[in-house]
Amino acid sequence: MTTLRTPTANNPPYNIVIVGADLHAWTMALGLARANKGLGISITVIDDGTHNRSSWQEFSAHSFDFHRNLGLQEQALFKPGQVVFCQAIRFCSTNAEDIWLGNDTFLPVFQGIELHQVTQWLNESLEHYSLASCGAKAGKPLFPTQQTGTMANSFELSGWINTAHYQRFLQGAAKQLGVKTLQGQVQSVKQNPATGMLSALKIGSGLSVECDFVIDCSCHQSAVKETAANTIDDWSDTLDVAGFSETINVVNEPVQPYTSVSSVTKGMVRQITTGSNTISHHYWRKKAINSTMQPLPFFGKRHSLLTHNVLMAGQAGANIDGTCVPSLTITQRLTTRLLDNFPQREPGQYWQAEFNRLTNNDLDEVFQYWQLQHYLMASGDEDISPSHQSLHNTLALFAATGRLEIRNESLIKRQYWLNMLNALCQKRRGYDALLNTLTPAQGHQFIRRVQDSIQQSLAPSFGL
Amino acid sequence: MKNTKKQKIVIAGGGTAGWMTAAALANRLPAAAYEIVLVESEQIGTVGVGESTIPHIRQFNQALNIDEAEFIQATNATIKLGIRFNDWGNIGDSYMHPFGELGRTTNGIDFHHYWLKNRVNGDTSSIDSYSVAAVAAHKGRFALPVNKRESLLSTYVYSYHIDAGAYASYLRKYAEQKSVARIEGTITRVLQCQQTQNIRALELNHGQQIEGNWFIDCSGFNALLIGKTLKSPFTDWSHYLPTDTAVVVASEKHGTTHPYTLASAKPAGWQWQIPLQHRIGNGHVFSSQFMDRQQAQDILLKNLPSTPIAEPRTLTFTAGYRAQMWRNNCVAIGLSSGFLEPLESTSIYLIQMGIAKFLEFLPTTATAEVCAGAFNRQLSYFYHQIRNFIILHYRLTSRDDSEFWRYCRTMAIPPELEQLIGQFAECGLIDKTQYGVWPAVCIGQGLIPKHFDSRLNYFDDSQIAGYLSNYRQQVDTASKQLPLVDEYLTALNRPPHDSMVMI
Repeated sequence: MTTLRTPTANNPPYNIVIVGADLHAWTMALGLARANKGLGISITVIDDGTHNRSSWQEFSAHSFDFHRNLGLQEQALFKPGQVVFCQAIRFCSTNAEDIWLGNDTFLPVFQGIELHQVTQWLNESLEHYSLASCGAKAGKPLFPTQQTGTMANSFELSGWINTAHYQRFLQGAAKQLGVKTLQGQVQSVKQNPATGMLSALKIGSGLSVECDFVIDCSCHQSAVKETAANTIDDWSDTLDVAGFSETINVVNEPVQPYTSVSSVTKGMVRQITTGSNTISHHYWRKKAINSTMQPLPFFGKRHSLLTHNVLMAGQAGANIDGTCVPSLTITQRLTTRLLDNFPQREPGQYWQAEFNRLTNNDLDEVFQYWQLQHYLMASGDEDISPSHQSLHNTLALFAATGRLEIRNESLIKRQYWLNMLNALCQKRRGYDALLNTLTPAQGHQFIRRVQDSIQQSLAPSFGL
Repeated sequence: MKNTKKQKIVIAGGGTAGWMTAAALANRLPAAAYEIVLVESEQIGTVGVGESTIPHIRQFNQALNIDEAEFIQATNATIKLGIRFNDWGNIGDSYMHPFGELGRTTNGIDFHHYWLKNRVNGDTSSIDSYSVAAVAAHKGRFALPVNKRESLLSTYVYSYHIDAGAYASYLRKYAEQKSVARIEGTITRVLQCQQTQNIRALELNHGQQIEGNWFIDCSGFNALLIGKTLKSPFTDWSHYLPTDTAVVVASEKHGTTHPYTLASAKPAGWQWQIPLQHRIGNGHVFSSQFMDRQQAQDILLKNLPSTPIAEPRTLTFTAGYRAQMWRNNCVAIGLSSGFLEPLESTSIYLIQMGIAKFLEFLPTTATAEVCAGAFNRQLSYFYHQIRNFIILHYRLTSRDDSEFWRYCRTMAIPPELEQLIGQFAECGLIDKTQYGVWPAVCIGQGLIPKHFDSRLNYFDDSQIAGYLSNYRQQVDTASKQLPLVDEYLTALNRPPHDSMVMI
């Protein structure tokens, strides 16, 4: 081990070049510009014509943290008609009752035992004891309060946002912070043959743009991708998603505070009602693809999103929309990860390895959670054979005991996992052995109190 | 799935692990549904691990509703704010692994990057001087942390140095009050079900057979149930952690109490010093490949802070663990599950984790196998994390004065540790899910990252210098406000009508 007594001074200036001009590109541009405000770091977005895949984009509760951490004023963003908030997800079924999963962050505990264990013990449905689910079912939009630990604060919001509106917001704020824009597609790159690092990108206009760090959010094949190409983990082998389309129908129905998910022969539909429109995102199976749909370049992720000083993000890095985790969440998480330990001009191999490890952990988790969603929507008799050993372990443990093994710094919150597993294993699982030491009457008393609290929260006079 | 028959849990072995398990199980499991029995023999001594602890022990005690003042009095405990490492990076070096924050993350950038940047500009302040726990430990001061995030006095946690034997006795009393039955006897035979290989009963020297549904192996290094009976394999880690022997001796109470464990590196290992209220615990951990026992004992006795009060005794061990700490209907907790040397005071923590996970997965007969899988995966994760952190101390040495340290400097290490060291060396990147305060140990042992967070290039040097100087001063001022740890303990031991030392 070489002991160094002082660090080596780093090498300013620093040029970040982002290729692509969709929501992902502008999310990263604004995130990096905002966090590095006043530091003289140059950020350039190369608008290569990459378009947003849809006119509405799903977002998770992670967006609120992302905005808050960057100090963004959300009042300007969340305008009526441009956003719909969701507190639950509804899995529609043609041959059984719909399943509702609340965006719960916690649920009440009974003598130290989690609620899903109690409902299993008493043969009750957990969704009746989630304020978020009950509110969604009643069509009542709820907003969590600030009262920590209370039922009214037991959930978080996700939602759908008008893509163009959100992009204008991000773009405007980024430009105010000095983010520059250039037009054109990347034609060639200048690469250090010894280190593999890109040092400049040449775009269609003939202009050469110097770069210390490149973020490729482009949907186009380009010299950047060819240089930093790496294998793709194609999830469509396991979960058949090959194309996408969006439909918007005019309706006159109240806003639905939830996302509906339906399985259809040709694929899957995720849907929201804004009050004036129903927005449907269709995810098509390979066999259903026709010319009216956008074929996905791949469904899944790059094996390594980061290679040398090139990060593949957005459509270039991972195509995971259609799962319960919006792709925007991954982009936000990548931005935060870059800011956790900002890379050197020539990012070191260990930094790269750690960045990829953490990112792969996130995406593996999305894949596993997505498999559960897939099982949930499949017919009840379908054999569940997860592709990951860890998911197999998770299912086996939950089915036997109602317990959950979850990794540190999990992307998907614990209660989301519990809700999903609970819905999936409801008919065939065990529960905490300690409950056998209590009387069902005690349990019923407890869940009645939970139900009362929910009713109180949903009462018209209660101002959530 | 309902299983209403009363379950019997038999704990084989007393000592710290046995009585911690008995107390925690008795506290959590209703006596109407669980019968808990502990078998131990007065003829068999205990290793008495864990005189030095980490802050998690406080959660354990709190879960049992143990009164802190009573516990401190009963176990002759003193306060611990960290571990002071002398002579590890090089002879003459000294640093603290503090219980708490090392500076504060500012502008989203970890504190040690600011320290690194300032160092480029000639600052020579120690990174310890930015930790309240470290500075207070050096000054011998302590008070309970405050619960206001904005106060520097909220940035540390604490633990204890305890008399492990007294702790076991204290917990025995607690457990027996909660209906745990203690059976005196030596286990002479373990009876198994021929079909399932499950343990059916323990046979004692006086012929009594103790049947049970669950057996917790707290028999220490003997691993009577998990090892000798169920043949759960032991994974040897001595190539990573070559120390295998400890000579231990207590010495008289001497001088003021320092609220830290002292771990001083020696030519073939290291020596601990653990201050209790009534004595000082001392031990020399060494590798018998590089030093004989007599030499080790001589080094120990020569470096004692005070007169020994007993004859030195020797313990031998092998670093490693059992990947299957839970097999069939038997769960190993404590030394029977594995052993990691006491450098980071983690023995009691690992016992605690074993108990917590057993209670979390509390099985029925039908769910035992799947629970065992989850338990083994999670305990294995803890063992690997702590193992890697301990190896880190040996690997990050520049000492060249003995064969032992030359071996440690160049020995192969686990790939995941290679990555963790590499990323810190490269750019100060830490994995926050790891055990321990990595910047304190890495920097303390002389591993200065090549680069700091590159954003700091754009910060004004004088602003960073001013920020650090101001922070250091605040830490110093805050630490000075605290009472001496001896004053704190004296006040705690006073009758309740006297006022506590508060700040």
